[in-house]
Amino acid sequence: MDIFQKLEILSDAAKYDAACTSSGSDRGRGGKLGSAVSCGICHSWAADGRCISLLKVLFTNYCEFDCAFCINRKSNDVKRTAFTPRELADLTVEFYKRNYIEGLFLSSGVIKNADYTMELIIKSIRILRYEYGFNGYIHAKVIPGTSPELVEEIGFLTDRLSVNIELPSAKSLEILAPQKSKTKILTPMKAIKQRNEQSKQELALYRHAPKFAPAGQSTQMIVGASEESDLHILRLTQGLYDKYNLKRVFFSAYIPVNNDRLLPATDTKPPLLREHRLYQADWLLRFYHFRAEEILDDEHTMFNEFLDPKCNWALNNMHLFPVEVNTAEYEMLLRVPGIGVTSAKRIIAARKAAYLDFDGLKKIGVVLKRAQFFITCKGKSAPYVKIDRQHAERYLIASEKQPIFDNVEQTSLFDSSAVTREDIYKCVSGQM
Amino acid sequence: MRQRTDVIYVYDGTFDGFLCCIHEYYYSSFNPVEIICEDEIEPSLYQFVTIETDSYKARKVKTAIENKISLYTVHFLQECFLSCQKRTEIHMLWFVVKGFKKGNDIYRYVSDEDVDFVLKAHRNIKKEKHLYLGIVRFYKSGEVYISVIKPKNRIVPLLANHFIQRFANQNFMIYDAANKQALIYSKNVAQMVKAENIELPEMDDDERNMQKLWKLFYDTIAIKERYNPRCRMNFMPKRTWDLLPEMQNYD
Repeated sequence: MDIFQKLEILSDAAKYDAACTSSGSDRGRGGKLGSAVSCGICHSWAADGRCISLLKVLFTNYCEFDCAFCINRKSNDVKRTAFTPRELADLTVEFYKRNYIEGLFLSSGVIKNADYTMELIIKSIRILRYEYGFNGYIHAKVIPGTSPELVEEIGFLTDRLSVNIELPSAKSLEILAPQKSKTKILTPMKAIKQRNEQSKQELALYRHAPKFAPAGQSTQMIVGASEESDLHILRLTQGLYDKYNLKRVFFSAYIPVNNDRLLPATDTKPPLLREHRLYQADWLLRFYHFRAEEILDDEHTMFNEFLDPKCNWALNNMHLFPVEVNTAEYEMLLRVPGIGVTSAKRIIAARKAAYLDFDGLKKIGVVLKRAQFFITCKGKSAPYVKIDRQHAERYLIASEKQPIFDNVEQTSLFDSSAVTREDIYKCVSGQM
Repeated sequence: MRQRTDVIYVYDGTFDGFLCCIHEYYYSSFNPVEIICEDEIEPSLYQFVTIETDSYKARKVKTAIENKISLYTVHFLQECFLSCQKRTEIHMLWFVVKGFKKGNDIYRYVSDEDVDFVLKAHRNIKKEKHLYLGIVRFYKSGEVYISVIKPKNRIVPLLANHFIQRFANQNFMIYDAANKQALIYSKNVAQMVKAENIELPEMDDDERNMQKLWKLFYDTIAIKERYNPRCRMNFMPKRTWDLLPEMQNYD
């Protein structure tokens, strides 16, 4: 099998991994080739709009596991193949030298057992790092059940590690991915966290101490394959950030690839809106000092389809608004829909020199379309805007593009033919 | 205050030349309504005043900016100067004039028209630079890696550091076909050159194969159920597509 066929099979099998980030690591000189920038760089965008920054492939799609949702499950009849460590390293370097990619994202099916697979992955990365002096970004998957020594070894070779949590609860995991379990997933996650913290301490003492996964770890779960509520997922996400210090939690809308009675029907559309709302909430957790309990509660366990979580929260807490832009604290500015981290910081800087008015806010980049219902400038609200829940809700829903209405045509009063000038004339003049 | 006559400053297109325009503003009684480069002159009702570039005057203005506004501002203005947006220079001039009065606080006056313009132009350049860090594509020809780009602003000088650090052991060239300049890095020496006409070497079959391989990866990695062309275009504008190997059709 030539490299074209291999790449096609193994990147096709890897495409359901959501993460393709290259941020969080700063590697400079020292190697023969490459560097990593802490902000991360996207190199291209695929037809689905997701960024391509790393060469995202599986090492092999042979797999011992039989997870119901996965295209590479053991019981599926698909073409199987595997790279050799050398092939993979060569391919990465050739792509990298042409600036196609920022580095490598290596995942794999489980061949023989978890440790054997990890050893193969480590072998390819060793060739890259030591033989080619490759200093670009490497993200590797840790397979649940890998032994601690191998986790330790791979951590020093890569920038980011990730263990996929796959499904939002232990129960679903038991049903859909019988070979994986909560402990098998959380043990390596914990090990990575501890080793990462230790490495940071060592670095503080010795500048040249080796770095263990400097870009931290991330995880991914499938949304829509099992029955957990949004609240459950969001709480879990928050727990992962708090307990395991994760850099990111990725959500992937369930795309039916297998026909299985345990899964939703194969003609289900991927719940993209739900995934989108989860990401919006995820951002609120990470950058806006929100807690999961504020965004959703036991009475509202699913997201509002028509409003983003921040607007939704603001409308439910109208007693905190309006906020005076010229005096409000940073934390409160962040809570205003339409003001993000960047614009909140800009507001803080700008108001030290001069009072801000609505025109100034617009220049700063505040989305007044949303923010106007929640702010005042110099004690005045925007012209013709009432600060009142119902008023705001109506406008906010109307102004957001509603994805669920996309394919629905508005019913017309005058069947399909347009009203002509003549009709209007007849109407006005009373002529029939 | 003395009556100033409205004029158009004409300068030689260099950053020093622009600094001399600021000098001119303070030492003559003209009111510039526009600053243009000498090869962009178009008939106008305003009088043209040609500004000679004088390194002494330029240095004087530079020192004044460093002392009265901040050290960073010179660097900031140099980056803004790479913008190809119309009327950038005149807004930069007013930015400096106002900066002399307000000091480094000038960056906080975001409601001001000139400050707003300059800050946005700067952001625009930074944004484009970041995009091009990703979408510069090299092709290999012999021992040299060559890339052709067509950015809106003259961002090649800003890309230099990144690529030199990344490909230190590689000979490469980034040719900006829109603004006719090129960055050439060979044998550990980098230089910027003006390049009106460059004849680029052809690609060989091995290189074509590599591009096909990359396109194959690009096409397979997209999930069909999530097809979203608008989203892709937001990130990767169509004007950049003709130079990306993954957006070509190979048959």
